[in-house]
Amino acid sequence: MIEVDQLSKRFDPVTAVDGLSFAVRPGHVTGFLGPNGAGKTTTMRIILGLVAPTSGTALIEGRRYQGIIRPLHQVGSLLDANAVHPGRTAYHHLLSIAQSNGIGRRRVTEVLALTGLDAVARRRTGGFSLGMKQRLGIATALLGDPPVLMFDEPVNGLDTEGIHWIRELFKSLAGEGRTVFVSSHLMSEMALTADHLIIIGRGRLIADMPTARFVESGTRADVLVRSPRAGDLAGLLTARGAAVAPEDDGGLAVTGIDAPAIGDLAAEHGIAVHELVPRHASLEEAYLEITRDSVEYRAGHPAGDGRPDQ
Amino acid sequence: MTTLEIRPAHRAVPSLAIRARDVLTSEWTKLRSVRSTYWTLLIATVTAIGLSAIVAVAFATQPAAGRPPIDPLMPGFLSLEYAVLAVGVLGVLAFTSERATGLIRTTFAAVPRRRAVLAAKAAVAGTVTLIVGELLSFASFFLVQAILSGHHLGVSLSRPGVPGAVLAEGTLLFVCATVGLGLGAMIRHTAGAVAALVALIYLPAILGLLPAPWNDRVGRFTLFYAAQQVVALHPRTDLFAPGAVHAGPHRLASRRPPDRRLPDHPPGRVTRRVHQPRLANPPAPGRKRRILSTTFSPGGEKRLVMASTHPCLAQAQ
Repeated sequence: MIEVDQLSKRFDPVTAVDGLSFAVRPGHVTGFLGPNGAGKTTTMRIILGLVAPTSGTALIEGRRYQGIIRPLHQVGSLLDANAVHPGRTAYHHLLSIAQSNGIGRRRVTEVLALTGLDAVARRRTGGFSLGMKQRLGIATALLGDPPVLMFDEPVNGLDTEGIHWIRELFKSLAGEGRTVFVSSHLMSEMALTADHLIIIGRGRLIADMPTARFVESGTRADVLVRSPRAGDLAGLLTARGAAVAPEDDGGLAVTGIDAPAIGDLAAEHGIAVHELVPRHASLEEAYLEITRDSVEYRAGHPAGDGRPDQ
Repeated sequence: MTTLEIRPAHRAVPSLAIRARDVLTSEWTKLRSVRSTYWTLLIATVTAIGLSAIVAVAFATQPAAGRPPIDPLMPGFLSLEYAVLAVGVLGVLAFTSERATGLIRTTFAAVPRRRAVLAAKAAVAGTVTLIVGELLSFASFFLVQAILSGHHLGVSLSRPGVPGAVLAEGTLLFVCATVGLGLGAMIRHTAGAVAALVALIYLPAILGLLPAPWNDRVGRFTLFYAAQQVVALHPRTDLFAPGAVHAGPHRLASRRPPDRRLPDHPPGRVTRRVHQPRLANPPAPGRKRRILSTTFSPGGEKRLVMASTHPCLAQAQ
């Protein structure tokens, strides 16, 4: 369980995190979404005690990170896959981190096997691809077999097989009752991986809801209808309680009633229908819309000006 | 969904000693698993041994007539003074290599007590460089004496004060490695920290050539002077009281026979001219002194090494 309460971090003059509150619960894969510069990495660094918040608290299992002894047994994290010494082998990289928390060599070998790196364990990480480094970072996070896991953009650089592997890994970790908190700027990826979403923009919370509900509420589903008697059909549809919005090219965008019902209604009244297309906006579009709203809201706000990308 | 108990049940909180051992073990693994450690130590070894031999041969082959007095410990000291740069870089890299890659965040996430990490780095790099420093100091001592003794210029390890001086020379590597680590932690960039290290070690050698008394006034704050004070058989009492600077040489000094023992100084007190040994080469009255160090000749006499007689600087005069 990760609890973030009224968290703010100001890097003058920029407010990276702005009064953020949320909880990440065990047993779920929670996606942490936001455009670049939204404050995801800063939030994760604050949770790990690497950055001091300007105000607010971030607790793991009810405790501040700084107060945890041998923290790798409580929280495993991958912040930056490239944060390895290029001249050190994967094995020694893991061993040095393991030893700092009293974790033995056997566990190092275990996590190497678990992440499919056993064959390259004795190779220097300078020659690793980004995907291999991501696996190494995940191996590091798993060293202490912790109940809480945090991953910052773990999918970057992975190939299709790697993405599939990581998705299954997260699900199985959550299935074991662990708290799994994964950041990403890719909505499509999170829709497949996470069962709960926390979306932030400009350091502020935009949405905190189950993925399914976000998909439902966020996606615009309507039916495009073209008819030579569009005006008549619009009247009938409105009478049935549907919302009708005329499109620029003469089509009607109908919501609140599904395509078969529209077809039946038109047939009932002898209205010819030339086109009847159910439309679903992609999740990506929904996400862009929801974050764009936050950007627009913030753009009118003096504090939001001049903010550089992170 | 059922929730399993993942947290290790009632894991005993390890004692501070065990946690300290863990961090030390971790830092030791880091130090021994990168090539830069071996490279810097190899360069230090080649510099120390090679330069010792070259300077010793140069001393030994000088024509005896009109030659300035020879300090049989000088070749070893001079060579280590250059070898320290390599281990200083080792100290710098112990911090900056982690900082540059971002690995330091992983380290601090694993060990949130940052001072413990820095202390462990200092302890590990310090121990390695102390051992290597002593090995190199004694190796170059024996090599130099083997070369000089062929010309009856050598000094025996059994001579009072000599073991202490050779031991003290070995600590120079330790000092520079920990200073390098400190600079790395403060400056956080490899290039900047190495530049600062070079300045700290070698700039004072040039400041020493400033006209008196400015050479001492500026130089006394520098590593170069401190090193000479630590190593010299008879430290200059007008610069630092050895006990005030470094506990080591003071203890070494008191092992000397009574006639060579320096007066005890309370820590922190800088004393002036409390000890006036017999000088084999007193400076001419009225002449500007540019004393770089004092040495101990094979005949048991104290000599002043001045800019004009320093084997490395004499040519620049």
